[in-house]
Amino acid sequence: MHKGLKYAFLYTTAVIAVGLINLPIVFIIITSFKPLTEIMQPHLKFSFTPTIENYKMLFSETFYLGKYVTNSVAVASLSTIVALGVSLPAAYGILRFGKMKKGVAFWILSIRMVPPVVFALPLFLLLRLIGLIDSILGLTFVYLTMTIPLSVWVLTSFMDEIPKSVEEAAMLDGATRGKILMKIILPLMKPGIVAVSILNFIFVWNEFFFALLMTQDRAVTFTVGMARFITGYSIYWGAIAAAATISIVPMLIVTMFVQRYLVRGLSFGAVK
Amino acid sequence: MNKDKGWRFVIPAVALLGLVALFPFFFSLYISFTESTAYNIYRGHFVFLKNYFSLFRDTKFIDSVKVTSLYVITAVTIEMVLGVALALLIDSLPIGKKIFMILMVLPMMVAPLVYGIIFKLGYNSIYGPIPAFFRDFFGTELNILNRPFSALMAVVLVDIFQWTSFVFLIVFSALQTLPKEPFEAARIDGASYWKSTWYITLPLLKHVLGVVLIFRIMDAFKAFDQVFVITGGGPGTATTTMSLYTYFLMFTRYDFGKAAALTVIILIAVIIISKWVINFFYKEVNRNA
Repeated sequence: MHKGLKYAFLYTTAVIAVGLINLPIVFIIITSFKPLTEIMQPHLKFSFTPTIENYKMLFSETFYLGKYVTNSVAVASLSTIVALGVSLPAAYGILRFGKMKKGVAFWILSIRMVPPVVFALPLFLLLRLIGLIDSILGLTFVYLTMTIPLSVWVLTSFMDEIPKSVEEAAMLDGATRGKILMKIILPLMKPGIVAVSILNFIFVWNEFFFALLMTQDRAVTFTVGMARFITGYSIYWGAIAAAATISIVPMLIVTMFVQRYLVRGLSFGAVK
Repeated sequence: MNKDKGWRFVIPAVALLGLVALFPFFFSLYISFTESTAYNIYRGHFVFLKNYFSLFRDTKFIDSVKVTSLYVITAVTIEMVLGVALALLIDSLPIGKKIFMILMVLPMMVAPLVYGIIFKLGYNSIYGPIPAFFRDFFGTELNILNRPFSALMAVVLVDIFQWTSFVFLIVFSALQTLPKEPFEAARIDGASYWKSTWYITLPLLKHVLGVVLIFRIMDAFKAFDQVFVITGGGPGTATTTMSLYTYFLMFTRYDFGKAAALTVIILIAVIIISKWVINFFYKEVNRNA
């Protein structure tokens, strides 16, 4: 009896905690299905007739949802591909050649700690100089400051689990390091590559600061598009809530799949 | 054939990072010594430390340092306490840990900007649910974002709502990897749950807590998105963090030289803080070893 009571208490507290912490997300998702008149009213009210008007408005002409999402996805894919391309060999180099492990690895990690605002001005000026402001390519370039360190660290932690003996056999056959990386390590790294791609995607999808500075019109990403919706003269809260929901839902789904790798990715391999 | 030269593999990544991260830093350093504005960006004349001196005489800069410190200290302290408490709570559940864990980490997967949008609506003094709640139940009118202190606490609350998850996730995962033996020994000796948590669990987590603390301090330090959307730095300078102030210097006042000087100061602050935190935890770990 005593034990049962204790567990009842623990589970109740856990449920309340989970509910509270997710309250903002639940609130905005519900709001996205409320008619505007229900959103703009000064008293708490929990009953309403759900509507998809807000979503219809999003897909209308005034909000370029398609363009924003396409831009976000394009930048995410491009920066992931470039980051993977340089980070896979880097992770291999860092792991297999012990000497440089500490120095290079620490240097790469420390970039993660630097506030983006430090890079903002020089990168902005640089992009302006080479005419890449407001372009997918320019934004991709800027995001490499974050996606390369992330990729190197997560890939290193995955590669660390591949036993050396796998390579030794190939080495005896006279394969070069490059060949080993391509033919043996790469196929074994599939889960790592998937995890890194998803983590990079999450980062780019959610990023706002750089996107705000580096884009104006053509390359505007989803987050910047949403923010513009708010700073305009009239605030369409219904449509904003719908946009927020569209931004949230893919992340929630992705979380279910990558929660195993989240810790590694978010702590840069500091905690496995 | 230099077959065993690992640097060949690392060069592309290091070169690209040098281009996107190291070069910009030195560029910033150079700009911070010049009088650069939007009109003479690449040709500002050299003024040495003038930008730095003008920053330290700038009350808005001093304000932004205060705002940032208050933001970071309040948000991170509460997040650490709540995050660790939640991790211990979920870890003590006999079944369903994993589901609770996934539900617990959802907030940090959402864009900080979206959290800003949610709370901008939430705090709205006319139809936001938070003022509405106080209106309906206590008959008081709240104007959260119009008062300096409550506006700052309001943006801190958003940070707490979103990033307690991070502390939770890392601490919870670390709890799963702790050895079982010390706890069994303690139980046999009749130690209570609280005693074994305080004397065994937390000391074992010291390293992890240090890592989490560094990450949270650094991330709270760069908070921008939510604050930008919810208050835009106002009222007055009440929520203008150092990141926001740099942004204003750059893109509304076009005072590139001063903005660059501020980013150099931010970078130095970040290096000092992280060194200090790392040293602190390193010492603690050694003392206990």
